[in-house]
Amino acid sequence: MDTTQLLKGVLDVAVLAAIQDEDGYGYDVVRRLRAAGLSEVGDASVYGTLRRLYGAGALTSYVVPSDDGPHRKYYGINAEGRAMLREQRDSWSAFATTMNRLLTQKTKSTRTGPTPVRTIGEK
Amino acid sequence: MSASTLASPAVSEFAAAVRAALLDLTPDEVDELTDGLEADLTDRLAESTASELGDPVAYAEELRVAAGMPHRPAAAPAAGGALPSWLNVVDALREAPREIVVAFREFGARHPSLRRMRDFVVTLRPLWWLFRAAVITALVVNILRPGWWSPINGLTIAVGIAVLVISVQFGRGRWLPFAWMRGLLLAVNVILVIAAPFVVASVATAVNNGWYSTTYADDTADLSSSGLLENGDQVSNIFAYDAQGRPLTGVQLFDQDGKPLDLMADASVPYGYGGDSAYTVPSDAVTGRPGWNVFPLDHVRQNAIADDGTLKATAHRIPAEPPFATVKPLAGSETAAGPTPAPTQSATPSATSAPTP
Repeated sequence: MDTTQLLKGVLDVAVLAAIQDEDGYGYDVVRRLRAAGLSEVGDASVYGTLRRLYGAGALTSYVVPSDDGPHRKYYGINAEGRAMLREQRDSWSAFATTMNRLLTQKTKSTRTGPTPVRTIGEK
Repeated sequence: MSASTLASPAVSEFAAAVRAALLDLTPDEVDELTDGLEADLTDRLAESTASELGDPVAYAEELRVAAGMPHRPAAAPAAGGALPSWLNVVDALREAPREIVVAFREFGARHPSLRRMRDFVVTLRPLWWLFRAAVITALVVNILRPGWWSPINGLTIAVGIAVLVISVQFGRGRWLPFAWMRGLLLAVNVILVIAAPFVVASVATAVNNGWYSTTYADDTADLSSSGLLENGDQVSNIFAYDAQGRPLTGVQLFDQDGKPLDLMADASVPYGYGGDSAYTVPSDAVTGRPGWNVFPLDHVRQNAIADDGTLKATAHRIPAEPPFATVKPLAGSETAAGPTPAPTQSATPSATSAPTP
């Protein structure tokens, strides 16, 4: 499956999680996400997401000048961002549980055969 | 605020190309999206094994989509051929400003120094809002209360604050719910830019005049009734003493041009203030004109002045009391001091020659 398609829906919560403990600038956040295993995340997608979250009031932003290069724009999470992160983490957990159950049950039902409809209906 | 100065040429070029691909957004949106881009690109180049940054247009698209910015096709040529030619002209005219703006931004995106200049000018925008408010306030106050407006009266301050708030809000893009209001604002701005030099000139003139008229408003009243000043203070009378130190009367004073040294600038003024509720009056012993240059001037009392401010015909003249009965004789003139008061008579031959009623 194309992971980039899956990433699109969860990039917000992923970015919020990546800076929940420490402020970071654009490429910094990309690095953290890749280190966490999201190797296919695109730079520009992360930057755009940071800008949008900032625009939505979930992040603070400040520019740090650099002596040996262009200035860096740092982003930090604020109270609103933490609330957003909490909420999205919960809905992700619920979604992931549902998906896990669905996928595991599906394999189980194909293996055992009987009453697949009833099992799904119960849930 | 461009960071491209410290970035490598490859990074600057890529960033400029990304910005160029975002030109349908407003400059603020582009800045918002690409601020810090050079630093991120530099990091990426330093870290990744590939020395290529990729396709800037695709990069810009990814950035735009992730940021949730709308895609506004800039100056689409839209179905030109099918329309009648005159409609094409209308369309072209309507699109022209937009195309100029886009072309200008494209040019700016390729020239970082121009971007910096633009950024600098953009930071000065609040000054324009302030100036705009000041000019409109001056106009509004002049319409409400024609004539001289002062920067420090209640009306100007009230109108000024209201206009300033509106001007700033409009400048920030607020309070403009209808599209036509933006058009109107643009028209007002253009008119103000054209009118600005004239308004500034006329306000400067008005301020100058106003300053003079307010500064000298009180003095002018005095100036009209006083001619002789000593260190800025009005001289209300003059007492002359001869070489022997004896007071003189009927002394006629003239200036270097032979002009009578009148106490009053306007000789027709009937009386002047003499201090201690006394009023000085001109000598009536000069032919053809009031004798405001004959000293010491006689006094009249308050009751000699009629209700309409003129001097009563029955006014009783009192010789003004000299400050000193006598003064010290001049050096060398002590011996010439005679016991007779006669010299006062000889000192005023012309005054006494005039008929006295």
